[in-house]
Amino acid sequence: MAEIKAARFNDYSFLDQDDFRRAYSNRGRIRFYVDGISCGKCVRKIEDLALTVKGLEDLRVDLASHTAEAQVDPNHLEFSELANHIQRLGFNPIPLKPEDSAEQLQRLSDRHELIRLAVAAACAGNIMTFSFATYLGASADFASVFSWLSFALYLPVVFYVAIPFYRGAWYSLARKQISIDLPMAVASFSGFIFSTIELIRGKGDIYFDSLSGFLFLILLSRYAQRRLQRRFIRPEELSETLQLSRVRQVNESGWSWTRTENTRIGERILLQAKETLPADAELISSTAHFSLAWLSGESRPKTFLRGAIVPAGALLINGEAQLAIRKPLLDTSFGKILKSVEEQSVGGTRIANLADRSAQWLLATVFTLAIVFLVGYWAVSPEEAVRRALALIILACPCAMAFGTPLALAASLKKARKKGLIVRNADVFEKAASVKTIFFDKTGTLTDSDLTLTTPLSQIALVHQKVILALENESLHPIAFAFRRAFNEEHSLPPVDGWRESVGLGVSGFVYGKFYEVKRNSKPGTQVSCTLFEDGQPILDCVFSSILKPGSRAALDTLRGEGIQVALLSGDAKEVTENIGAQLGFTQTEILYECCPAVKATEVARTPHAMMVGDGVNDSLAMLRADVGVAVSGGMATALKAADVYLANPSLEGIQALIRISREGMALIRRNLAISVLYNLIGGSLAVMGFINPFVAALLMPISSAFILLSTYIAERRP
Amino acid sequence: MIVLYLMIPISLALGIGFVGAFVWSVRNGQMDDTETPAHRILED
Repeated sequence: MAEIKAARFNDYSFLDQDDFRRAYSNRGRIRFYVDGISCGKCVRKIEDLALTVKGLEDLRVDLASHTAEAQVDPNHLEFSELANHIQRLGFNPIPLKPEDSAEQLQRLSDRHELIRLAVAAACAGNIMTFSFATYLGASADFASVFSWLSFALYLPVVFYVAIPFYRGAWYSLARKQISIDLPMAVASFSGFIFSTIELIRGKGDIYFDSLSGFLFLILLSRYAQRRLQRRFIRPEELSETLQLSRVRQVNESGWSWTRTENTRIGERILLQAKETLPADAELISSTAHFSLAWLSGESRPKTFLRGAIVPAGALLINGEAQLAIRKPLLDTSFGKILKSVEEQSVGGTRIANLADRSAQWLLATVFTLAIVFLVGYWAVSPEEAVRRALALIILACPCAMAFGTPLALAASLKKARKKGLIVRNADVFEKAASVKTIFFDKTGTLTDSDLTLTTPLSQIALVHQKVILALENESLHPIAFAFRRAFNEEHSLPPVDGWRESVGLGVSGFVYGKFYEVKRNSKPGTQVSCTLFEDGQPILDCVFSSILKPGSRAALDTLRGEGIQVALLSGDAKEVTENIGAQLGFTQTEILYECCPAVKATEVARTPHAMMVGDGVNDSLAMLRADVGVAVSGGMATALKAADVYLANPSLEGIQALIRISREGMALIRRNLAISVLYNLIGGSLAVMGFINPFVAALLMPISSAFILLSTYIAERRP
Repeated sequence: MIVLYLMIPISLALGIGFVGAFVWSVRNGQMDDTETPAHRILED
């Protein structure tokens, strides 16, 4: 809701200036990140604009990346008009710069993987048909033809399909590690050489079918995982989504849009409500109210007077403000936070996950066994030694393992998506399964950032509205903001005599000759309400939507019940934090108040197995430092820059679901691993004893894969 | 069974043809977004 409200203020006229047009569009094409697209209805609503808006030649929405790309005829439609059209539908479009080369490369590589998969499928399918004809007793002539056909069809597999495995094997060797790609590469290549020699000699040990089959299966499971991980628009620069790249520059004729990087120190800028200040600046207007949530974490607005230096990142609450730039964005502390968030989210090291580590063990064992066997049996019969060692590697080749893990992760991703969890990377599941402490941000996570008046306006007489507005005019209490949002602000307000504000209690004063008071009710419970008194008589109750998000307490209690430590972090003052904390059942030691983003981040970083649940923007740093960062609000693109998981449905039940899905996912991975270890034990011993020939391999491998599939399928069906 | 010598090249040619068609569709970007079109058809 907050985003939609904010959208009303967005002014897109900068898009029509030449310098911005050059930066954001390319031959009439422009892309927007559209916050709030969630279903087919939204797609339809937006795309239908192309039918009604003149000059809009084409408009395509991509649901997965939440972007809309438009082709505009510049003679008939300005970009700003298009943005306003989308805005009027209730969405908040943010213009994106055209794709850069890295992004294009990413898309091309996605396509290549799909083509590779198709070639693998076609070759493996055909090879299997030919080899089964041989196994089932084709006559010698045909058997030879079929084998040579298999050979021909295996060529694209070994020289094209398997390339990612060679590359992965090479990288892992360069880092002195064993990865799952290594045995795949060894098996597919040595199997090719061995089978080809056998083919030329007219013998029967030809493994083309098994080799191409498992390569295909593994590519398929990897592709499924990749496809299910949310595909994003390029990791947007935070400054872009906060719209810091443009600013209103004040000039003789009012103001005009300018790119922030072109402004100089001392130049005057104009800020309107809900806009973020892109530089440290001196206030020129007489007063202005800013929220410094980004910097201090405190949600209550602060008042600045003329001459004060307002820090970059401050959000103007209402009205307009003129400022003179004192320090450009990159030199400000806000700019530094942005930069460190951007750097860390790009350069984060990937932790080898569970499957990789167990797989390394297994692989090392299999390889050692194969080599020991080869050396030991060489004296008995070199040919038989090579044959059996190879059979061991091909069979024990962690087909089941390499295939079981991506499949299990894909299943978890699918489950998570059903629960409205958007997961950036499947690695999260392993870390989330072992989370011991969860830190919660207060504002926007456990509580709503804004209060909303729920008493219908029809029940409040216009004269009382005016009185309330007049009394609350100077107040910065959340209740005052709620009133201002609810009532029409255009009223000409009556003057107030003897105005007083008692902090935390209410405001009072004489209006129209009568003494009015607006008093906060201290009723227990989570609802906030206040009463208007006229000459000491209560005449009107106003109720606001609850401060606590519904279900917060229940969700927290469930987490506590599962033995997870919870803690509350807030930038707000002691009493506010403790009051909320007590309502949610936090003990004194679990509450940390008055912490700025840097303190939050340190606190989270020094706690092992920590999860940080927070706001999309304010808590970016802490979310990055935590093992798992979960964002519950803020624009998705911004939030996912720093967080691993985004809750599309901002209820804390999602956290519970995330932990449950992660634990189940890890259990499934372990089960799949157990199956593959068992299979390897049996298959490996058979191979060493010399019982494995291509036919047995062709039978055994699908059996193990079928077990893994079945195990994954059963786990996925469980709700 | 001699007919196999005719059938096999035909089947392989068909197979290559389909792979080629698929490659063409991928290169054309038809597989880039597999989610939105499913919603689009329901809302039309």
